[in-house]
Amino acid sequence: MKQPNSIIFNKSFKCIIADDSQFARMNIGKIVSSIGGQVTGEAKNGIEAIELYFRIKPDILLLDITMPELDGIETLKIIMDKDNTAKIIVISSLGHKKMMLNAISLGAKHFITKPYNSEQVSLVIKSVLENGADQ
Amino acid sequence: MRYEYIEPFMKSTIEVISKTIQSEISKGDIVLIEHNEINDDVAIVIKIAGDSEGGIILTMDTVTAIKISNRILKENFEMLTPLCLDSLAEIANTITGNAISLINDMGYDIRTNPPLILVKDNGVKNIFNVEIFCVPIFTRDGDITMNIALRTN
Repeated sequence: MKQPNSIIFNKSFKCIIADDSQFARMNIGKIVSSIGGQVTGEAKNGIEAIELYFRIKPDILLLDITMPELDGIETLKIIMDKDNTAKIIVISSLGHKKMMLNAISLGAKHFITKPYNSEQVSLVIKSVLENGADQ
Repeated sequence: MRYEYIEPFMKSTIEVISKTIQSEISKGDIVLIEHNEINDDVAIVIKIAGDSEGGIILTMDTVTAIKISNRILKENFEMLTPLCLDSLAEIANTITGNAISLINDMGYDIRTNPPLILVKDNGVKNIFNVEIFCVPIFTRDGDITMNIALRTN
């Protein structure tokens, strides 16, 4: 997966991907790698995501909403309660206004709806890593 | 079932599948079935709860499932692997999520669950005990059916 040079980071960053779909994790992982990031952890549910987040302390967490055990919204709440500097981007097939506003009000830096294109995801990751806020 | 629930699912099915497999697709006439058997090899089931209950079942034969998953994964599998099935589940999940978002933006409150994958050996059945609206989708890799089984609470 080739990205325009303007999106590639000079400095590597650590990323955790939380999604119950192996296919989704693989796809997002390719995007992260293509812009110079390193996938340092993968979670299949919210419980794994929280455990990995506080163990690895990644630069960014890419979080799905519909997951077994603990969904993305609850996961977001728990992580933000303990670390309000967390940089979390929600990537979900659910994109209704109420859900998006809820995620953003809980502290998500951005909300991407599936299906996405890789350039869109790359640009959002870059924006959140550089500016730390929703653009 | 409210028709306003059907339309978002049809729209989302067409949009997501055509974008995912990157080719034009078309849909056939909607058929209403009441029996309990779905005659296909592979089924992805997603349960729905809230203002409407039931779910959707995305079904196809094995050959179509292999072709479509190979196209998505850019692979050349000769049989259905767990990753193939997972890629199909992700399509069903995206269709459902997008459709539910359209419905919820109309003021309803519907929630979705993670997908369940069934293959013929395990029995592909209508587990929702409610009439099904079947939407046939024709792709260059074979036919898919989106079965919408929802009752209004």
